[in-house]
Amino acid sequence: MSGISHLLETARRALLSQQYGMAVTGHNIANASTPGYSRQRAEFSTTSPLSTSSGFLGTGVMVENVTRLRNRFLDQQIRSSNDSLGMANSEYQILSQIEATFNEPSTSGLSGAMDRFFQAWQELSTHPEDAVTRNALMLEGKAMTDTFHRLNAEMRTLRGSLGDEITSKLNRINTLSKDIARLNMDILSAGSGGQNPNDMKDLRDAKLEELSLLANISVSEDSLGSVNVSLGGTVIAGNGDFRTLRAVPGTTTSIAGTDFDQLRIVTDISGGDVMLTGGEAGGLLKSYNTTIPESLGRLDRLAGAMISSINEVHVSGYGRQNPPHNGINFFMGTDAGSITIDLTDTSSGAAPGTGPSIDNIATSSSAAAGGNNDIALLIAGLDKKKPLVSGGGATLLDGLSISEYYNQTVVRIGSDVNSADTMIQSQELVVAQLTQQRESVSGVSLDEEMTNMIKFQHSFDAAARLVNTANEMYQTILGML
Amino acid sequence: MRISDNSIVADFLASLNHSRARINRLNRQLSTQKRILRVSDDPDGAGAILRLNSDLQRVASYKEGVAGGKSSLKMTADSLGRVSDLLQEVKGVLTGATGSADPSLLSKFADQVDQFLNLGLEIANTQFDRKYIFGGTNTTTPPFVRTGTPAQVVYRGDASAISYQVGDGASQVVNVNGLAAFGSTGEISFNGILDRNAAVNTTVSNTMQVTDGLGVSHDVVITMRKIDANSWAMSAALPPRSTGATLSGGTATISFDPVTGKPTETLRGAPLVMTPLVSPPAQAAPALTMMVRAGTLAEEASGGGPSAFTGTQKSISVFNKLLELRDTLQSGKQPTADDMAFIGIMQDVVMREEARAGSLSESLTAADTYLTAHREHLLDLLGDKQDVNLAEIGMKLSQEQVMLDAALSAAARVIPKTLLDFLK
Repeated sequence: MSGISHLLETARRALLSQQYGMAVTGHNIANASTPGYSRQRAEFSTTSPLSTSSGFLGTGVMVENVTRLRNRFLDQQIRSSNDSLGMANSEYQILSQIEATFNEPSTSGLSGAMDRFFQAWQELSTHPEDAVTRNALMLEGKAMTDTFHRLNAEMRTLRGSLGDEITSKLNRINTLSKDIARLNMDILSAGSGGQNPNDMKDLRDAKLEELSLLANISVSEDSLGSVNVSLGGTVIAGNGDFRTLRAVPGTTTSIAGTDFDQLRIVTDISGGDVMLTGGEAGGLLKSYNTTIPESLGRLDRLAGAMISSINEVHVSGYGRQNPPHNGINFFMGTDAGSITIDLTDTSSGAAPGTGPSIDNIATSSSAAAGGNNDIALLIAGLDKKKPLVSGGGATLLDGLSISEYYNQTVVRIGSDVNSADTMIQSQELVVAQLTQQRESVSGVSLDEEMTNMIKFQHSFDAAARLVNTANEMYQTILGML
Repeated sequence: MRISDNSIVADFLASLNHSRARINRLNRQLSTQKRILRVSDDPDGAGAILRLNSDLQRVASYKEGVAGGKSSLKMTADSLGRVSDLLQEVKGVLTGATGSADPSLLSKFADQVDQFLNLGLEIANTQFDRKYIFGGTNTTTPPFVRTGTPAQVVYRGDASAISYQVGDGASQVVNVNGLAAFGSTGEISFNGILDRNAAVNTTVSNTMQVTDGLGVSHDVVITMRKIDANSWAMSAALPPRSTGATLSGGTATISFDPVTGKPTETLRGAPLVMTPLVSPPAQAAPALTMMVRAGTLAEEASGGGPSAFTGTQKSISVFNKLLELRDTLQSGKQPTADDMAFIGIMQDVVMREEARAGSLSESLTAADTYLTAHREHLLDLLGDKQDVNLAEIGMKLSQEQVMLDAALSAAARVIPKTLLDFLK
């Protein structure tokens, strides 16, 4: 059959195919701004030719498939970079909050409070008998212990809020795992019916990408198009199947000399540990288990060293009592949360800290001499003294002085913030470059789509003209009858 | 390479955000005038700022101590100068009294001495900055108290030095205690017989115990050498290899009446000065200055036996000496040459301590000069680390602003354009 009806059939196929192409272009234009959308392309192919005595005769065109343009290798690389980026982002945010809590360099940070406290001892060494100077020291001591308390409380509150945030992130991971498992089933189901579920695949890729920002996942796709998602070696989503993750208390661990509870991540079914070491959730977990405890532990060690070293000198000195006596602690407590001014004469049965008095501030090495400033001078010099040694002979603060140890703590946090920021910048650059590469494959170019639209429109016009021509041919033949 | 519309927008937004972040940071630096606002801006620089701020605070407190010490030492030197002037006046009164046998005149001289005594005690109990400056480390109660019957002036302070920190690992004494200034004088008087018939250059020695200003006893060898018919030269020395104190002076020539054998004249050389050696050196122990008196020493013919004598030490403070002189004059007795000499020695000691206060003050001035220079140096370093270079920041800000304007202008031209704009 190679008559006019063949011509009309060819034109019909062309009209339908160009319309289909136009529809795909319209879909692309409509989703030009949709996040995660991959441009689609109608795959045109020639229909089966007719075998005629003159040879094969073409029968027109058909849309064989609508494919989405996607590079899996780029997806994999972006997910891998997202893991590091998410982790760096989390760590940066937490470390920035710790850095803001320390509030250095400024006059309102602990550094300023300690400087003023030791300066007050220095001033007391020049006026050991003076009530005003003693009172000033007491106030500076109170300001310093308040700063210790504030830092300790704010970091512990931050850590407490991290527990909730980790749970929130795990909930999101669980939701995404569930969505991915369901989409796997839908995609397989659609694929088995001969369909190519491009938009569902886009949705699944978007969820995988979101998941990669949250955790250190790895993704593998089987021959049927289903993806398996594993987190630290544990499969959390497959074909219709997924694992729920939750945070449970772990073993208490000593960090920088202080015991801290730990969180571990387990699956709902096996209860086995999941190695969450990347992504935003991994960053939060690391901050909860390690980063914040390290800062808190160092603060505790600093406070503990101040308490023991100052008390050790202070108990040997004499105050301004009548008669003067010694044996009184300046501080009580053991760490940053409990450091408090004691200055209570417990020899009469009073409980420590219940009756602090400026008269109990010891400045003198002699009971008889109110102007003696030996003890005040010794304590005033403690901030620079190194190594500090405990009563048991152990070296405190890693052999550093009080001010050096604190500066090291602050600088370490600042360096960590700096490193995290650098990591974010570099990972953002990597992700941006990879995203641009992916956009060059999958992104919608309106210019390109407009060109396609014109192309399809012209093809459609030409096919319509073919119908007209075939029609005129029919008319000609009919006119001959 | 295909460029999608989304990638153009994403690129533009990323660049815009980075540009705005840089402008924001420059603006904050400009408004705070500080280069480092958070430790993470420059961790090493921030660490240096913390150290420098801490050092500056310490230097400020050292300077405050130095200023307080200098004021206190100036007050000390002024007070000692006034006591020295008082003693000079006492010497004038004693000179007048020496030539007078009139009991009523001597009584008036006694009244004058009593006034000088009261004034001296008032000066010795001077308070500066609510502290008794001559009490050693006992700064809360008056160091000199008149007590007992007959009245005696007792020192209630101590001999300790007060030291202020004037630098890292450097301290400086900032006081002169009352014991050193007014209570470190005394006398050694002798008792015994010297052989009138002894040949010239005959020597006779005796070891006596001398207690230093810290209450520690030391052996002192006193040697008498006959130098002519009725005169003996005295000298004092520590035994060989003795430790714990140094000794200087202690020389005199004592002449005796050839008939009665009693001492007629004592020509004094340097008074005997004993300085205890203590550790640490900052605890400046007072040097004890003692006048030599012939006492009841007598020269007799050999029938009285071989030469033999003993020495007795007695500490006499300035104020107790004035009390004694007042009572002497009150009782109608004239002062002796020994009294005049003793007041002279006391005045020398007070002047010596005045000079020491001045010297300590000079040392503090030197420390202050160093601290001022050190502070300037620290401020320079802090400025380098902390302060922004306004010109540099201004230029950077202008540059960033120009770049942002250019980016916005380019985006405004490129982003809205598509093929649609050119299709009819």
